[in-house]
Amino acid sequence: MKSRLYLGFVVWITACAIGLFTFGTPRSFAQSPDALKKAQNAFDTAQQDYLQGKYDEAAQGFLDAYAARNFPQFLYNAGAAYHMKGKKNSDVVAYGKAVENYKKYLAEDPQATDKPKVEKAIAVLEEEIKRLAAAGVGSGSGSGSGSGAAPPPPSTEVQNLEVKVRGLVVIESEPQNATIYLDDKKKGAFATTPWSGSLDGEHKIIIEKKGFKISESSLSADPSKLLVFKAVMSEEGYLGWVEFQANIEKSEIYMDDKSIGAIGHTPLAQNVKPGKHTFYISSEGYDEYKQEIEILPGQTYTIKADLHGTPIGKINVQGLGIEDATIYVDQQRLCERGPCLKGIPQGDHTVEVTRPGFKSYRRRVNIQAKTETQIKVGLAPMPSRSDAVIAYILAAGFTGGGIYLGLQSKHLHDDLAKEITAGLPPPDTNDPRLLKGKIFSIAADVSFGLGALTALGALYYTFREKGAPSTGLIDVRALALLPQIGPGYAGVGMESHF
Amino acid sequence: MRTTTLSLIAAATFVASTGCKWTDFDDLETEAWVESTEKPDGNSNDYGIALSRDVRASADGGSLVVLGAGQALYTELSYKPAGGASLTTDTEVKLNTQFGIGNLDNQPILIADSATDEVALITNSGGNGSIAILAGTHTMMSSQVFGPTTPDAAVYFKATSQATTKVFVGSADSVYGFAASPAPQPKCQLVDDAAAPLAIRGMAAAKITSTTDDDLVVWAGDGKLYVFAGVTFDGCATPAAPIAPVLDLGFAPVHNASMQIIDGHYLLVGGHHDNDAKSLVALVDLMPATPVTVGTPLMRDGLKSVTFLDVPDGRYVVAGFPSESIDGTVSGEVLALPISTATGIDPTPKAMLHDAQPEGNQAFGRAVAVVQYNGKPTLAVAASNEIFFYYQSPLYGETRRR
Repeated sequence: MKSRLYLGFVVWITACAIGLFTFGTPRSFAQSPDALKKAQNAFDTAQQDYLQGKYDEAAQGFLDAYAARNFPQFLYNAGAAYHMKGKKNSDVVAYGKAVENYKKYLAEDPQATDKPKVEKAIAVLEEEIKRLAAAGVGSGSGSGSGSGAAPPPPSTEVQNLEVKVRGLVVIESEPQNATIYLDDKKKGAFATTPWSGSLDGEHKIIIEKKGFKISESSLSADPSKLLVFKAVMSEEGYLGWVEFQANIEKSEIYMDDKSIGAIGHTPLAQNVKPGKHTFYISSEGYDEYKQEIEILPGQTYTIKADLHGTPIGKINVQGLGIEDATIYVDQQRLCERGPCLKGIPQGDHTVEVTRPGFKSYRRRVNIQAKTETQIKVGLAPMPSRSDAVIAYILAAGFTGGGIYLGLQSKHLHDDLAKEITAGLPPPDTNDPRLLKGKIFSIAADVSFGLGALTALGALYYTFREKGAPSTGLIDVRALALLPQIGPGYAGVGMESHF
Repeated sequence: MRTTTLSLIAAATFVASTGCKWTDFDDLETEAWVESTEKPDGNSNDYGIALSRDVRASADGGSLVVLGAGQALYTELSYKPAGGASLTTDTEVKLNTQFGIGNLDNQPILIADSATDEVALITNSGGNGSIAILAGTHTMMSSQVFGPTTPDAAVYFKATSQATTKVFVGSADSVYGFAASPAPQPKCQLVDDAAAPLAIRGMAAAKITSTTDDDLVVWAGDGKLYVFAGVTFDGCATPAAPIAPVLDLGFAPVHNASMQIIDGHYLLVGGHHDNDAKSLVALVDLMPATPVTVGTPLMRDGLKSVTFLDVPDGRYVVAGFPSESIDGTVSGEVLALPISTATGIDPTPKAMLHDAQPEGNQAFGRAVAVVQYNGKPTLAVAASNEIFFYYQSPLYGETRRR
């Protein structure tokens, strides 16, 4: 039996997804809201002109939008509009303007993720200009509706170039320089505000900044529109700011109660309520890092965990009815319910399996690195303790009887002593109360004695081992991480041999 | 196992330290100042039908004569100086075995000689047609009076012809004894002031007409007290007439009425009826020409026994009412009534004694006696099969034990 994990494939998918989602880089946007409004109007008009084939107007609209807000994407779109005009009429001038705007785009955003594609487009268009100039072709006329002799068709290279104007998503915050998380903080920081770029689909935008309340919103990006998302963040003066770091990337971060799950993965920075907190940073295969900090409002703290590796083995607890059982290792709850498959450091551990109404199974096992220790538990039902209950009732009865008899004896003693002292009538030496009191006294002592013995018996019945104990079968299997290559996949897989 | 053992030891220690101490009741028994002695042997099933002091004086402890019935017994209870009673077995006399006397009255005549330590039981001799006089000190010597069979009264009497006191027995209208001189004179018939035979119910000896010899005082069936000169009984040839005048007490008791001389010439009388519960206790001054009662006689139902207690704190008539109800139980009680030769009997008791735990038909007080104990007069009370001995009481307010 084999099991395989295609780790490499997963890494690749994640990288591609990130690449598909993002084409933007942060820029400074220290301009007024009116400018943004003006840019948005110019962008919308330019989009309509582009769709109607009015490429000059469209290009001018994108340049107007850029004049209002200097988002590099506007330059790219202007270039794309001229590119389409040039492609439609083999217009050398339009091609030149396209190249000019493409270059401006790259100059404005040298880290653009589509830089290779844009550079390729520039190269192809410059060759096309040369080709058309050599053929004596001039510029087209009008607004893209050519006239006169039919221009030569675009070269094959130009034909193969994909030309499309892009929508734009702008994420800003007030104040700026806030951390943007996309969908889930656990994925890590996405960018900082201000940010502009392309996004496909619907996303959850989380914006966080030290000293300000966290902002969470949903965003549905339209590839044909300029979408501006601005988060005005209110100050969070009473929170502290904690930055988590670890030498192991994506280590899990827990705060105070580990049972509620991780609050994120390293690296992470976030606001934390003031007070004393315990932070745990752990990663499978490494010792847990723990640090207690007294968080003060408005203060910044850095937790830097240096995790050291620990050899890990796996424990697998299963058995009939295990779904109702709780599994503890070294008195710490490992699994709320079974079956339980978890990695734990190698060494001696005490495993305990408890289930209401059943005897607990407790066993000390030695976990070895790169092995899976399987424990198949058979929990025995808890036997009845009615014998102990009866013994307790008898003990209580004897003790109660002893108390009653003792009180009666004391009452008789007090009466007799009082009458002997006072007389009228004085009790005599054969007064029946003397014998009665003595009998009560002896009976009380006997009753106390029986009560004590019965109570001891009850304690014995309570704690004695009764019935068959819970059992467990232990099986140890070797585990290994091996390179895996096969048709359609390659990566690292884990195998277990038994 | 070790844990269990330690737990048991701990539990036992706990119980021992916090449990009840039954020995406390033994201590209480020691502290009790009323000695109760239940029937000390199994020879009689009705122990304590009569009490009498034993010896007249006892500096260490004391002893009490107790009669039992069914079978008839003469016993002596010995009280130790520091308390505690035991039967003096070597003085116990089984009357049926030794004298053929199987039955005793429920209130037999048991008298003590004021001049000696002698005690006498006067009863039917048991089928011999005579009255037996069983007398002695720590023993019983039998004498018999032939003729009468039922004694009505008896008294130790110092006759003129005798050097010491002798027992006089009254039966019906006659007095029997051994006072005759020179010839025995076993019988002397008594007549009243009208020369009619009288019925003797009680007798006492008092020196009224002589300072050396006794005169006989008789409580008769007509309710009157008669005084007969002592010389009358030195050879009584004809019926003896009383010295006139007589005192009419107006109460005719059944036989064996109690008559006790106080200070030589006062007479404490106590008697009761058989057919009803009526009784009378009175103090009589015998010295005037005409005897008179001192104060107002006490008439209270249920009286069965009377004695006189003279202690430094006062003088008392101790009267037993064995049918009295205590807290709803007919168990009996004893009253101690102050008495004075000047004012007579105070009807307000100084002490009311009864069993602290009354039992039905206990007959507490069916006999009473004053015993010398550690040199002091001490009260003894008989109940059914039980004798109470008061080392201390509200009457003398001190412990009689050393």
